[in-house]
Amino acid sequence: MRPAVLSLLLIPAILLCACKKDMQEMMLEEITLAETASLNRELAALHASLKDAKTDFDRAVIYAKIAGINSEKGNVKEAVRSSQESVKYQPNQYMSHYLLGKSYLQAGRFADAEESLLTSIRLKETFPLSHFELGNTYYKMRRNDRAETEFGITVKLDPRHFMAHNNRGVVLSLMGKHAEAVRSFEEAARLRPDFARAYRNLGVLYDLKLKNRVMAVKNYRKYLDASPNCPERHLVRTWIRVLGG
Amino acid sequence: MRAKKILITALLIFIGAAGALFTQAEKIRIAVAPFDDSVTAEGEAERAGTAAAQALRGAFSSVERFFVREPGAIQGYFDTLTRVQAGLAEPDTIRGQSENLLVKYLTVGTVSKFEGLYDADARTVNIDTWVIVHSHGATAGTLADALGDISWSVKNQFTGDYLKDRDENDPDRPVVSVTGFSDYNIPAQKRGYSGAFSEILNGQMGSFILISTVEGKYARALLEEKALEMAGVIGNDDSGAGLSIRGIQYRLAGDIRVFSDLICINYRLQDTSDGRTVYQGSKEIAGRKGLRPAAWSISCEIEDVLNSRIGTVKIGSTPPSAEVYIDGGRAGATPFLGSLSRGHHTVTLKLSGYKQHEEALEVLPKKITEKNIRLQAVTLELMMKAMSLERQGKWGEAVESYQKFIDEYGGSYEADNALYRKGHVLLVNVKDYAAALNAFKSLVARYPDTMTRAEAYFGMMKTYMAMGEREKARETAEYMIKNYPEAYATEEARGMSL
Repeated sequence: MRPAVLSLLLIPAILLCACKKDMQEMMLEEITLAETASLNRELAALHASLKDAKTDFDRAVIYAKIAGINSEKGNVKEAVRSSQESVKYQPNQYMSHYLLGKSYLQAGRFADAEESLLTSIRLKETFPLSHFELGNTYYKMRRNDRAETEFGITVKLDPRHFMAHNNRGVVLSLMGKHAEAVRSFEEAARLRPDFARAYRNLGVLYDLKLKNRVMAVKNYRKYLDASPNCPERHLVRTWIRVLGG
Repeated sequence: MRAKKILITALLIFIGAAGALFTQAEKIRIAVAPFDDSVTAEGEAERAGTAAAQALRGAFSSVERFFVREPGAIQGYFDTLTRVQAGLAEPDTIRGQSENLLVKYLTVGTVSKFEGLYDADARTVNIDTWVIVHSHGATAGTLADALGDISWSVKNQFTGDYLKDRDENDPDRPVVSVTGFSDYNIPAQKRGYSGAFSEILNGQMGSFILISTVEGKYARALLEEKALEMAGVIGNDDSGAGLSIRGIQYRLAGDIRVFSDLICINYRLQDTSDGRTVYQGSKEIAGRKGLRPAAWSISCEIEDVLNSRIGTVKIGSTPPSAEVYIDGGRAGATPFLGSLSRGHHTVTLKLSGYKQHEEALEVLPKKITEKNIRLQAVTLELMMKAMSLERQGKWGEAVESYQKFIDEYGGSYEADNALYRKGHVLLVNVKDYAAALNAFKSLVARYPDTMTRAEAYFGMMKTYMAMGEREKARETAEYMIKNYPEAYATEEARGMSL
């Protein structure tokens, strides 16, 4: 009787282990496949080229490229590591400091991010992306006025930076400057019509602050059109219904 | 005699009724809510949620240990009440019906469909706590296959014992919820994986016994959803306080980035009391099929973190930019922030012009272990003295001084030079080849820096030549040419006749 009971207990355990092993194998397969993705091939080539780098400047440039790709992928640990290397080899290069600052921001290290981005700006004042990331850093530090200034500089240097227009709209809204915020969101949407977030923000602003139901519904709908599979689509539809849309 | 018979009959009826009541009380009382099919447009178009709930209700009902509340039970109760009020039914009709309404658990779930595949995920939660007590999910080509997998788990895995282990209120168990996964870049927004992925991860997290996962549907109700959203900022949503008040200690959030042939899933575990990120990671998959394995892998990692197997380390130095080595492996540069397994580690800091610093580090779980280290500058007095003695031809004293410098600043970059000079003096002047070889070999072994190693090999090669071991000298030269082709020392080695 006992072995029978034991085997009955063991079967689900074995099945569970087998299931886990399957998942592990599937994950390993996915990792292997991901390694051959174009971005990763590019990363591998950059790592390989480090061997042939003759000068510190060459190394700094390669590490900056590696950091840039990792930052795009969202791999914060690797982005921090490679941008630190880039700064080490070329301490006076604005791009290296910009990438380091951006990586620190992604890692939630706001004071470090501020320092690196300010260094980057000192080295090249007209580089819009450093101002953009500094604006994001100040936003996370809840220093909205400074954030607004930095986003303002970003759009002055690069008027087509739709994300800076969007983010400026967010901080302006938080500062109570709603009309200016609407203009910023609208500019972001005009520059990039498939940038769904701008419509969402317009919807929320009209809904909660400006109490304009018609415009809120209109923008929520535009958001759903631009982002048909957004995770909160059900919720947004409820918002539209509540507003009488 | 007759009274005795009546007594026995009454006793038997009582035992039977008690037994029936006991059996009823032992049952797992459950209701199945319609599955959410609104996560993806394709899933919603098929209205797959109701069918999924029906199939799962059938799976529960087919097993004796479950009591499943009928979907229209509450409405039916009110209908009967109306009939009684209208005089169409006896008042007793509605008495005792609460038995059919009472449930302790609720099964919620999601069906999503994109790129031809169905993802079905079911979670059963304790209605009082919203902690997931059982979960199972599957990805399949047909909805029936996905639901079949879940039904199998319900029938074979979801037992009273399974439930008992998961439903007990253990205050030491960390409480976590999966909220706030977003589609980060525009290609990701077009694909819209984040909603479905969040549901899969939610279910995977709910399958662990040593953590309590609060169902995401409930946790999301505690967040401010109508918030303005920044672009290019990680962690848009700072409203973790609502979760913290309700006892959810950690939230697992993240983003998905889609590239032409790669999907990157980035995730972070945040302490809801202060919004601090306690852990951060990334996974890469080649395509949509990898979403579930990735969720499984992430959930295993987070379970490790939450069960105190990993802690965070923050290392700063004065001056900054020192290289950080942890347990001998290069980990980055100061200011350094990273995750390490709990327990003892050795941290080493190296910076040119400063003495190598080494110290033990005790990594505590769920805490940031912080070290701020002031590095001690290398004083070159001893080195200058050794070089001066070398210039004066006092070889023995020079070797002794170089050794003193190495002993004092052994791990510093300046010690590389001292060790090389010592080997050189032993080789060229003292002609103690064995000692010279030892010096060069330790230089190779101790310093990973490329150029220093090339110089050390060059010293070894010259020592072998001096010792008449031409074969070993040639091998060393070949090694240098292969591994350090760009080094100046290699260039010199090439010019020597071997």
